[in-house]
Amino acid sequence: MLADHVDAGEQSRMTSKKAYRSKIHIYLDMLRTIRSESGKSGPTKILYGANLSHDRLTKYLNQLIELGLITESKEEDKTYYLLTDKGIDFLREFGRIERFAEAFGIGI
Amino acid sequence: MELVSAIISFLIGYFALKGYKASSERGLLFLHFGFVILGVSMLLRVITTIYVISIYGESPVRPFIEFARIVYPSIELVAYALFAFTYTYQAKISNELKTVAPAAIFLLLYNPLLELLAIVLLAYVLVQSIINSVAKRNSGAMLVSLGFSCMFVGHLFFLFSTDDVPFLYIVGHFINLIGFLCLLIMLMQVSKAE
Repeated sequence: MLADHVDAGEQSRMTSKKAYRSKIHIYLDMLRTIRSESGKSGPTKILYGANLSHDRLTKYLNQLIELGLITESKEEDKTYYLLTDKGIDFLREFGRIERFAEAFGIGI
Repeated sequence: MELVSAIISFLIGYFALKGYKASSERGLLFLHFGFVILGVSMLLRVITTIYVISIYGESPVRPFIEFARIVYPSIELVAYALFAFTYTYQAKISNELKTVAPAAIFLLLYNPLLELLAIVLLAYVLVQSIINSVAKRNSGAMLVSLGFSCMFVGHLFFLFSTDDVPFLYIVGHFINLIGFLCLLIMLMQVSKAE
């Protein structure tokens, strides 16, 4: 699970709930940016879509690759990131969870 | 009727747990426990009812009935309290309307009737779900508030049912079932959405 990927040390540093949630939303923003580009996007678009610095973008992209939600591909010296089937399923499932939580007035 | 409601309750509890695992949102965990506890309560009542009917005339059933009258509503109260806590926990719900909570607690402390306590808790949950429904204006939120409305009305029927008017108890269960069906429709809508 995505939430499980946030290591314990990082969780303890994130004392406020808002900060922790924003991390989940960064992942979602990145994945949704890639999806909006037909499932294949360059790093710059992801950087702007998720509003990240370059360092954080690299860190989170690596985490998403480790999770198997995206893959990296190189074409003519350009790097692209592609949504995997697992990534598509995750976005779909998370969208359902968001709608379910919203119906009960729970913001995630 | 109650068995169907229990199954729906477990389904919603399962979906809430799935949501909690993906998002780590504690509100979903409270919702999970609330619906699972509610489902367990209804399931236990179904089992007890079947057992009491099966031994009726052979063994004394009074202790079972007394047990059921105290224990199951108490378990239900825990579930409703968790729902109320879920809504109170949500910082996104407008703060001024949270003033309903102290009023509910006040009534909780002064009324000994379990059914009435359930109604008070459900009233709080209902108000919060209506607020959410008005704010979100989507069918899912409307179905949830409709579901809680039916549970609330169902409990009102339970409260006024007596040996003289036992049909109120049946009507109460029927309305309760409609409430759970509303929640099931919401769950199906969410599951089907892409």
